[in-house]
Amino acid sequence: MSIDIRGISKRFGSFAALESVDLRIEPGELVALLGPSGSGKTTLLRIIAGLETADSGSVLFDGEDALRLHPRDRQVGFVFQHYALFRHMTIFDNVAFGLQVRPRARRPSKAEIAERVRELLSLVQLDGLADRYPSQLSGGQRQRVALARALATDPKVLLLDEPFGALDAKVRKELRRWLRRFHDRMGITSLFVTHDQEEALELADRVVVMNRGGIEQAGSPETVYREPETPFVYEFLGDVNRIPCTIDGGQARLAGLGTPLGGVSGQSGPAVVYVRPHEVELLPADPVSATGRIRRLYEVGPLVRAEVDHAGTLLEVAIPSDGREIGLRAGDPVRVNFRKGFVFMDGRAGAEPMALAPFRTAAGGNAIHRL
Amino acid sequence: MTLEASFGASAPPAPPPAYQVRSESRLVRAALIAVALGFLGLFLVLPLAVVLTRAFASGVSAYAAALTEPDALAAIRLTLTAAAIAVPLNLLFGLCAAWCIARFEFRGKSVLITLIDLPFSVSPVIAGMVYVLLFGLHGWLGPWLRSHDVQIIFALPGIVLATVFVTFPFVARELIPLMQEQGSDEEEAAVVLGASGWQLFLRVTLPKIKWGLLYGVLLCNARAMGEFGAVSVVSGHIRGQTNTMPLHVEILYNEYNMAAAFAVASLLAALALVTLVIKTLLEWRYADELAATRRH
Repeated sequence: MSIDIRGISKRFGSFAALESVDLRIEPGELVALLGPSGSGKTTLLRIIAGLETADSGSVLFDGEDALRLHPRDRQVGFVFQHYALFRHMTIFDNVAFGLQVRPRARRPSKAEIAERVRELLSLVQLDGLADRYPSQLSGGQRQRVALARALATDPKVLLLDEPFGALDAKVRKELRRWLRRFHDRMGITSLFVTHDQEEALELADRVVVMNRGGIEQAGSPETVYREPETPFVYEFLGDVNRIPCTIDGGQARLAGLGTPLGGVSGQSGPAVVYVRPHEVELLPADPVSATGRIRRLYEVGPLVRAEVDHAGTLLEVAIPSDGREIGLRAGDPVRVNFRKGFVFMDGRAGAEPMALAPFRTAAGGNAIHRL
Repeated sequence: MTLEASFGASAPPAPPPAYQVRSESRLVRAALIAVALGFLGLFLVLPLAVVLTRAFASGVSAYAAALTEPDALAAIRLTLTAAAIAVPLNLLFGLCAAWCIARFEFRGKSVLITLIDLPFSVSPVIAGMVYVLLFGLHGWLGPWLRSHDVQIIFALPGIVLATVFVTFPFVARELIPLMQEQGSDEEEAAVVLGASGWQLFLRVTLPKIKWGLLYGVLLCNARAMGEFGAVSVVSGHIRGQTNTMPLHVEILYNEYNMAAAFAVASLLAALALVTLVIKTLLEWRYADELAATRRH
């Protein structure tokens, strides 16, 4: 089933939770609503489910107005962040609930319900736990029960609110993979809310980045990561260094010092260069040609992370180490080179971001020595 | 300590025993327990024992006679009737009040919460007076009631009204924090799964709050049977007609009929004890379920 969200707005008192949001979700798509807390993503999800009412706008399920329907008639499966399992019921009764509360005419027989619950529990790999109570299960198991319960009524849409938010890192990763395989098999239109960019990029067909009640960008995980349309998207989808600069004559220069950073095509004026830590290169340099100094170095798994003083700002740098020595120490003077970056003009919302072209032979003119 | 021994002579000096954050010295513990038990004995056990011994002071037959005497039987019947009407009413009111306070945001909510506490803060005598002023012969509604031949004051309706007023907070007070703490996630899940309003209440909300509800009802019941002040004002103390058990005890006491007074008093105390025993039995019987409900 497709979902068409048109001009949805919602206010809580003076706080605008959603401001005229438009979004279309294709049948069978797995879409992530990604954003910080307060960005409106959960509110949007709850409006689709009918747990919240919109002030204006419409939501269409396959072209039909869904907002007119009572939540119980929308055929939506909803998975809550804290599972919301019925604590006084066994796992069996939890999963069977949606079928048991149907009006008599549409209610399957006891045997059919039992069979369906058995099927679902085996689907979420919880066979044999039907007689337990929710409090006797682990967090990951509870979340899978919540999923089985939501699927029992054959929903046309599956909505998941921070589905892995309350789980520890390892379980979260496993469950994420499992959910992706599960979606590929079932093909049910799904929408999930998360504030974890890694989760969104790994799991979703399409990522919708939200901020302050609006959509900043919607696109494939590759697109939003590689071609962010706004500084917010760039910052939200990973660690980032922000370097104030001025653009003049096709060159980005460090604000204040005037050190050239790279080539840019487009407007002139004050701007900010956004560079990811792994796009920064550190070159050994003598104190004269150095543009920065390493403050601290530490290894995190396969990466060496460095903090570098660079013209008054602190740069975060990530260098793949592969277990080799990288030939740098804390306190070393270095020349800083940006392999790639995005330039956003100051104070001009909606301006196209520009790619920063690195100077391969800038300043000293030496061949770049890759660390 | 076995670990320490295995290190032998070369082991470093044993560290001083770890400081126990959650334990006090023996003396303090003993003193605290003694104070608690002494207080309990002096103010609860001793009076109860006195009531029982005084009740049986003139022998078992006098005890039985005091309870089977027609006026006593009428008082018992009236007390049970009043409780049987007031408790279900407060169960319903308490549920409604707790539901709307815990589930909805609305103007005047804090005023409502304060009002629910009113019967606790106002002297029961005043509660009784209010009803006399409203429904009494010279009260606001008195003439109208009289012309329609409805008697409220000095009759069962007045006693029930006073009892309802005094015991109103018990159920609501028990449920509001419980429902606020539990939140409404499960209710939302049930609605999305297709439950109707009635199914939602019976299958999700009621099981979630049933223990709190039970405590509230038991406390409400104990107070309803024991209420003296408010009922005393509206009842009129007509023997065999509008005397409840607490009023009957007072009358007997004032007449220096000690054996009978204590006999009825012991029955009243026994009813309260039965309430407590039921509560404890249920807790013990459903301990697992109770723990599961809380832990989740």
